[in-house]
Amino acid sequence: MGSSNAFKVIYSKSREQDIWQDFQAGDKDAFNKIYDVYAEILMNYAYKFTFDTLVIEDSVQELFIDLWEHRSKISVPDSVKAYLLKSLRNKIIQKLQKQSRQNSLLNHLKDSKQFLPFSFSIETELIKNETEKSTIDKVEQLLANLSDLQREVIYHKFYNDLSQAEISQIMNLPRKTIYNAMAKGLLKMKALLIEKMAMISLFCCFCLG
Amino acid sequence: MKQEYKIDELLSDETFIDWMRKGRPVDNHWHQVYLENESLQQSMPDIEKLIQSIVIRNERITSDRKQRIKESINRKIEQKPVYVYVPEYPRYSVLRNIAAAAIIFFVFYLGYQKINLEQSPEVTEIVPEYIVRTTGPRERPVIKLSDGTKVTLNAHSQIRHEKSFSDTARVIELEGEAFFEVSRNIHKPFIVISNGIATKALGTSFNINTRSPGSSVNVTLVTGMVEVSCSAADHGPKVLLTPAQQVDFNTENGQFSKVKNADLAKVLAWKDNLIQFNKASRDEVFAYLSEWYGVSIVQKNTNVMRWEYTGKFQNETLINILNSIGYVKGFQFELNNDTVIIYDN
Repeated sequence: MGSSNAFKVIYSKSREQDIWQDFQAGDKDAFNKIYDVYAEILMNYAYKFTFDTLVIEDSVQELFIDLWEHRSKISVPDSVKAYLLKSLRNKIIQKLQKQSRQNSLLNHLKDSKQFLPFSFSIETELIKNETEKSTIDKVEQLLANLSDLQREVIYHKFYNDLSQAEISQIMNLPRKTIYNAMAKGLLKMKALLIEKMAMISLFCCFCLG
Repeated sequence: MKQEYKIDELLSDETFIDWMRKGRPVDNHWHQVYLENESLQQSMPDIEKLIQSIVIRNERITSDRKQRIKESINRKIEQKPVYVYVPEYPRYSVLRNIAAAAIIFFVFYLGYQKINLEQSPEVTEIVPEYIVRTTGPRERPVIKLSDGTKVTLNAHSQIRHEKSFSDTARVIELEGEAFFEVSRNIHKPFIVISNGIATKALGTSFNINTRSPGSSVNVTLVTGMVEVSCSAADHGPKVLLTPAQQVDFNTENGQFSKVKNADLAKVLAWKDNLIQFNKASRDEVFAYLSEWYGVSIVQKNTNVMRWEYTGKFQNETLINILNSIGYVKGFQFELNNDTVIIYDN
């Protein structure tokens, strides 16, 4: 562990918690700063559950309004990011369940509280050549093969840069479940990717031989 | 001390994944392991390929949108004292239960005291009760709901809703035509169910007409934002409207039309008691007046003149309107009870 790296983490964390305390003391600038830092991360996360912009925007708004109203009652979270993501997740679950009750939409949500439909896709604009493109198509297929739980865990790890401990807190699931979901998800993806690569090398051997 | 590293085990190790994701920094113990371990070096291309392929696509959230939401949050925080008395969370229903228990206890207590209790208004509050408002011809009342929402109900229309709205939503059913000015409460969306569609709003104003031509329902948004969806279908289509847009829902095939720009003055004319004709044919004029005033209009002559009429009337009597149109287009009329007879000159 490099000392510079560790120092940076501690510094940013304590600074973030300073801002959080200012906000709890009623400082609106600090409150808006928290919004500025996290709005994009939160909305992106929300998009993985639904494309309903009304649900997404209302959830984010309600989250921050609640935060402001209950600021005297909440404690300083270990990880502000994980705390906000968890609160947003609960809001969205509530809203989607309410919607399902009202419109009989999303019926499958009724029974399963934890495994919301969760989907994302791979950034294709960064892809330069055709072989990479076909790999990406493959990865998209692989993602489709994962469970919602596996997808969400991988998303938190690779996009939100969270630890398994934080992910378990956000999704309200035991750490072991998160660990298994991540390992199984990555292995599933690997298996298909490697299979494809093996086929290519086999083809090469055949040609040369 | 040499250890075989299998890909499967590596991919289960969070510290290893973090090291890979961060581009294999040298100040990490995995770097040392990598240098010393041939099996890991061999499988590195595969692992790298996998880790690098997971680049998650970002939604592009514009700074305008972020700013708009931020302003809206700040506006609501500042307005907050207004909502102090509104219970916002289901968990506050504990209080409600206590209140209900207190009322029930009170009722029993009164019964025990043998005091004749005719109709306690508190007791009726607990049982869901529907309020129905129906309008006849020429009636266009402005109705204020318990949550502060204003409903302007057109003639021959009806709304129905629970006497006290539920904790989660304000649901109201509509037949006919109405204009809604919804009072804002983000915790309880306002939902209008009409002829198979649900129009959902938080705080906004919009017009719904279930008597739109061609067996359709028309929703026109004036301010704010609404979401229109099928009220029955699973995963049905949804339409989001922004101000001055409208959409038609065909009740026969369950399809939404394209979202169109609306002529707000025309759509909302009725609620300001404004009658507006724009190159309207003779039949359209008489059909509209007949619906508006709740009368039947009959032609005396068999051969009628064709014409088109353009004009506006506000708060006018039927007699005045027929007089002025008749003067220009050349007809006279006679009014008996609820029937108008037209004579072409």
